[in-house]
Amino acid sequence: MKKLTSNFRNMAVVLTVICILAALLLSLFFDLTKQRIEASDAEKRASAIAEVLPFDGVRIETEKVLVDDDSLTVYRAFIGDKEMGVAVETFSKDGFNGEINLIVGFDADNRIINYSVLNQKETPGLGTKMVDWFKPQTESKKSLVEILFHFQVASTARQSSVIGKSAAVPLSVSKDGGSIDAITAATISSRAFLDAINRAFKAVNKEIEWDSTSSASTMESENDTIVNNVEEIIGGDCNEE
Amino acid sequence: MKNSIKVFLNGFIKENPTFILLLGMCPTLGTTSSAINGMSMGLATAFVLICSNMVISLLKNLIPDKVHIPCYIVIIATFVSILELCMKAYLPSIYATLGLFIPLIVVNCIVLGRAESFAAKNNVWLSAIDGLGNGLGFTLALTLLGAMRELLGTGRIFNYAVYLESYGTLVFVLAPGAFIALGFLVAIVNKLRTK
Amino acid sequence: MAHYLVIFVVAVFVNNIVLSQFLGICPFLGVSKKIDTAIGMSGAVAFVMTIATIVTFLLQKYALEPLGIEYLQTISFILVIAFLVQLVEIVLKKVSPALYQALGVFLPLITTNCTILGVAIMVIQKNFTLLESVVFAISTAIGFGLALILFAGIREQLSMVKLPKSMEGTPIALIAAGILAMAFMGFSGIVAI
Repeated sequence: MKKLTSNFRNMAVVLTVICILAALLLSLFFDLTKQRIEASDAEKRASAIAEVLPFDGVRIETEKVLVDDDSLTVYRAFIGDKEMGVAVETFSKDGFNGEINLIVGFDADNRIINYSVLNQKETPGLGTKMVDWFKPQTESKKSLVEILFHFQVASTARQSSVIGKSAAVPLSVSKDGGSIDAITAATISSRAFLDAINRAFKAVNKEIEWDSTSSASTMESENDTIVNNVEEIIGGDCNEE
Repeated sequence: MKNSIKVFLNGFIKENPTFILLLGMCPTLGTTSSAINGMSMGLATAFVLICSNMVISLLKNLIPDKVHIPCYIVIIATFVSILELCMKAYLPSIYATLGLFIPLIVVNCIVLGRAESFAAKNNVWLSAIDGLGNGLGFTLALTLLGAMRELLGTGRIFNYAVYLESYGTLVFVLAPGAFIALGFLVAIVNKLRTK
Repeated sequence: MAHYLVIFVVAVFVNNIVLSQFLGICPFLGVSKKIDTAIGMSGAVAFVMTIATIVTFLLQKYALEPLGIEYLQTISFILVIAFLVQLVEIVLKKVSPALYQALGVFLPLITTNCTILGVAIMVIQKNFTLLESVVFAISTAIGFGLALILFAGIREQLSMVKLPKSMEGTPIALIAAGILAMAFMGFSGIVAI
């Protein structure tokens, strides 16, 4: 077949036809994948809730709770009429690269059962460790070098688990005088994580009255945070997140 | 058959888009923080490359010369959007990691470059093979770079612990390490070629 | 006002489009051999990026979203950008031949510059308003220019250095870019948007 010549009519017709075909094809694929896309988002949330509220046969009721002018989604888990626990979808805006979102599960006594990170944009290898850093330490798998040369390096003990904590005072990192060890070289991410946890505490227990100065990361204005972080970068090691 | 193998190897090794031609640098640097991320990005690009090469080769005589670039861009963008929708639906976690780099396959010079220089002149079968060769060559390069960065940075390859994480040089996972690791890889390839 | 300053600082230094987001690497390596060409390229990118961001933003808010066809985002944005680049070229030629002289050769390269499409999609993802988007686009372009011109300066010096054969050209440029990126990492975490 001979190649079409580049006259105006040919060009306009071909370009229009290709665009229309492309749009049709895309709308077809959009319809095909639409339900699946919505379902996969809901699935992610549902599996996170199931992870932090490990009860069988619960009925979940959803409500909104207002904390410091922010509306948080709270999932209450019931078996029969008995409330087994609450999961709170909480967030912090003080992450290293923007907002982080997590779901925190509490038992009936408002102690943390477990947490699951929904969204975070922290630096890979540093802040991203929050996914399991604040859970009890597990024995790490042996690396290839350790297996080949028959030795094992003892992992350093740390006090970083938030599991089982209840909120008498807001949680903070040890650098700020708190009880939780921050992720190595990622203090800002750790502060943001605990800020989100503290926000969840407020959502489950509205009577909490914390002294505003003790919760450093939640109460600081934006400008203070900037100054603090600059100091940290100048004063601390250059990887400090 | 012999011709197909030649076309495949040309894209895969001899004119490897990343190491030899230095095309598509943005995803090469941006998505290779681990071997698995690099491989996913490579395969995503390979999919678009094969499909767009085939369609453009099919339509090559219907497209007038003066509008060929806009037509190619529309065809490529269509396949990128299809890929985007499918990844959102079936591989949401990989889509979240690769993020912006998936829609940006549209402006990856490898895809438009192969369409211009190969698919517009050859038949459908050879164009598909060329897409496969270049796509897998790109995947190979990204996986290699990802594995190197992951190993140096965290002591792991494909998430399997090789040595202790605390001895890793974290900078290789971060932005500067991407440039430096790729610089050395290209230098090594140059060295091997001149021998 | 402070909010726009934060966007500016983040886009220029903290999340520099080239050195920490890895967009626009091709022109970064391709046209950075001389400071003059680097300045020309940065100017062309700044010009097109600002216009493209405004147009794609309006397209998204007033056409794609009301019609519920956001899935056509990629395809419509790239078409608009390709069209805009052509238009800018024609208009510049007529209106300001001097500016066309300076930027003309770089304009055709810009369609496949991923920073333009990248920024257009980013402002939608970040939910910016129109004014925020414009500030973000201009700042990103300044960040791109800063990285490009700094790097061109380094490469002009590098060309006089004696190197092993296999390290010449791109490999040493990449390693120098890595060290420049390391310097920019010092800005990280100062502010976030």
